[in-house]
Amino acid sequence: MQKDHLSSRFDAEMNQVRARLLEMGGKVELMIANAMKSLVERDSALADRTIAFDAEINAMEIEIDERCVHILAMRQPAARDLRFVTLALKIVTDLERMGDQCVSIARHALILNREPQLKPYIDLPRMADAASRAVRDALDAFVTGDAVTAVRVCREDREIDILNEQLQRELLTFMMEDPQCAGRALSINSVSKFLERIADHATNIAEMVIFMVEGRDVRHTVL
Amino acid sequence: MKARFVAAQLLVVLLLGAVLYLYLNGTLERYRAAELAGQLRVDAGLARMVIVRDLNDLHRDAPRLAYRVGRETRARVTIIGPDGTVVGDSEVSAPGLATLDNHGSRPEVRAALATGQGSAVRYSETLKTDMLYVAVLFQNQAGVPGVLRLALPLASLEAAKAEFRGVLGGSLLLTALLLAALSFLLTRASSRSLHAVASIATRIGKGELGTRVPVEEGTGVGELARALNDMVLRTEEQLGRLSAEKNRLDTILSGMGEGIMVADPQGVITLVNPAFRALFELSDDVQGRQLIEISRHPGLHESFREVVSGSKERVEELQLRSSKEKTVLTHWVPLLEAGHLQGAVAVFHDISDIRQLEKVRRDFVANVSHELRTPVTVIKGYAETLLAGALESNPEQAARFVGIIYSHANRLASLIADLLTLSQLESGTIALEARSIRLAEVAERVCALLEQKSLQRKITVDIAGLAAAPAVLADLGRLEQVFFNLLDNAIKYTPSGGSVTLSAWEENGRVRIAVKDTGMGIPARDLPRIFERFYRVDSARSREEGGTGLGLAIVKHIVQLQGGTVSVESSGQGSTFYVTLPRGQENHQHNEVSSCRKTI
Repeated sequence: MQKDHLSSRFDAEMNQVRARLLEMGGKVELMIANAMKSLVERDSALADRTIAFDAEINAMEIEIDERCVHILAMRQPAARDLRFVTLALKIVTDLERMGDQCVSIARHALILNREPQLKPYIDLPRMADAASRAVRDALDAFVTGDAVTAVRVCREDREIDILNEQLQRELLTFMMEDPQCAGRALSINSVSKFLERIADHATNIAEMVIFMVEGRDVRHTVL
Repeated sequence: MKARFVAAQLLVVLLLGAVLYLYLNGTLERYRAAELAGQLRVDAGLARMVIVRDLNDLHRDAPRLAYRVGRETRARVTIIGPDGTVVGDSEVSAPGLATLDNHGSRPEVRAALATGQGSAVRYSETLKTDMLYVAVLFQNQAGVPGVLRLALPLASLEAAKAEFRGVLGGSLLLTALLLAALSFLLTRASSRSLHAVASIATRIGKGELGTRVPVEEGTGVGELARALNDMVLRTEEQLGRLSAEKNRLDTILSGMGEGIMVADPQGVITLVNPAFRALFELSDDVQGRQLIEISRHPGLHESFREVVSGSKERVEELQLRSSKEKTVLTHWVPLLEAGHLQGAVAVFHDISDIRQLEKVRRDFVANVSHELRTPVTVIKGYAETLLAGALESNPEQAARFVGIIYSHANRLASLIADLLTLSQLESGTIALEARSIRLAEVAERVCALLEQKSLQRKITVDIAGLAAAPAVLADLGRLEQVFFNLLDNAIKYTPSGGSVTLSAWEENGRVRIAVKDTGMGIPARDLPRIFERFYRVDSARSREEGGTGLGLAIVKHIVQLQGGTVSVESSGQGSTFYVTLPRGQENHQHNEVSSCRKTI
């Protein structure tokens, strides 16, 4: 009786960690969308809001961290549960880093919005779509324990890398043509890099999902 | 069950038999032994009299006397001297007496020597059987004391006991058998009907509610059956009501355009309707899953938490990002049952279209004022310059200014004309006279109007594809406007040396017209909005070309008013605008018109 009670409370704690983690994921997804919207639609107020929103993500990181450490210390989980808790600890870091990248994007948006638009944003929204899709799919894979989707996320990271390189080359030509626009080009370049990094973090999560589901470690391997 | 019942009855009978046996057996033995002992005592008393009279010499007379008395009493008679030596025995001849051991220590003898009388029941080694001994003290005339002992085997008692055991055992067995048979028969009879009721009850439990239990009047089972039937009837009624209620609710829920979700206080989804699945693009079963697993939208969870913690209704607008962005109005209601929170109900209303329309309307007002202001500002500016003196001081410049004023006044006029056309089209006040029209004729007329422009830009307009095209059912003037706007656009946005090709064919009983250019194309993200009023891919360029930004909106409205559709495809190598119109048929002209009106 007592044991049942304990284990059900343990389950409840694990579920809470899961729910909070997903909620944090949702907030990060929103942040990515808002950061890109502030850039593409030149909405500086939204950029400011996005930067302020990061505080929530940071608070959630600390909260989930504490929950995980509490579980580790008080419940000493084993096997699958241990894997899940360590996974949660890692995912939370990745999500928090994504939030930071979004803040950086919003900061660059503030700078870029003060100057005339260098070029129509075509590749950046595409990259942002791909990156936020990667985050969404990675988290979906985490929810459903779907290794197939996770593997796809890892594979599709290449596309974002290619887009990033393509954009860099294009920006280089802009800068060579007109050194005046070098500052803006560099800002756009940074945004592209941040997006690429967000996608990398999503890939990290996907790799961990594969580990959680299939028990095979796919980090630093080609899928 | 039945076996246990019978076994219990048997056990009671056997227990009763055992108690009876033990009691009667003991009593019988006691009475029998007492009776025998009494008789033996009488015999012993009589024998003593004989011995007292006849026994003169203990050693000489005793054997003879013992034999005689023994023969009369049919008991074993032993005469024992005061020292315990046997001096005469009815069963042992005189010479054998010496072999017998001293009887002085026998309990009955000792008792007789002490009190004058004694008795005992003992197993006799000599005769190998239970014996009843009665001993009495005597004194012959000479005053010599001795003990006379009479012994009877208890075999008769044993026999009586055996007979009693036999009778009792037999009757007990008979009773038990009878009882077993009777109770078996009786329980089988009642359990058979109980079985029948039980099996029917099982079937009812499995859902065969149409089943009824046959009622046996006047028995307990019959009453049970009646009660069961009543219960089934009521259950059936209630189930019917419930399922009707549920069906109605299901129909309402699945027929609703709004998404509905019910979740328990822990955030586990308990009910959704098809509209909810469509809204959140869910394919698999969501019931029993956490809300957070369905959508990670932060606002959704905030609302849910607020509703669950505060038990208050909440209305909120959410931006959902699934395959396309949606604006959803959510209405949260706490689910209370007897004052306790059972969860939350949320209604999701997709208001993307309404929001889009509002945006279009807002943009339209802003656009109209902007579009009107630009030429007015120009006209005003140049007119002011002219008034300030340019008219006299610089007639050459003045002429140019007037030209500019004229062109902008023209632009203003065409803008106002377009706006008027559009508003008439939208309000439906324009009377459309639909009749069969040959496309080639219309195209030729429009080409003639645009000939100069196309020549200027060295663009070839190919209308050969319309020669064999089927007739369409449309208003001639409006169709001309459609062709004009489409061709004008195509010529405007095609670089010099390019071409515009018109073609038409029949498709699904309707006529599809294609206007294909070799221009720069339209970016994919602008395609869905290209038919909106004042929507421009490149606003600077469009105004330079003298467009009002209303051409395609007018095309769309005219075509839709005539029951047609418009669409556009575009790539880097040019765009193709498609117009689909009803096929022209002389006989059905008027019917077609009315049907066109209906589709508006």
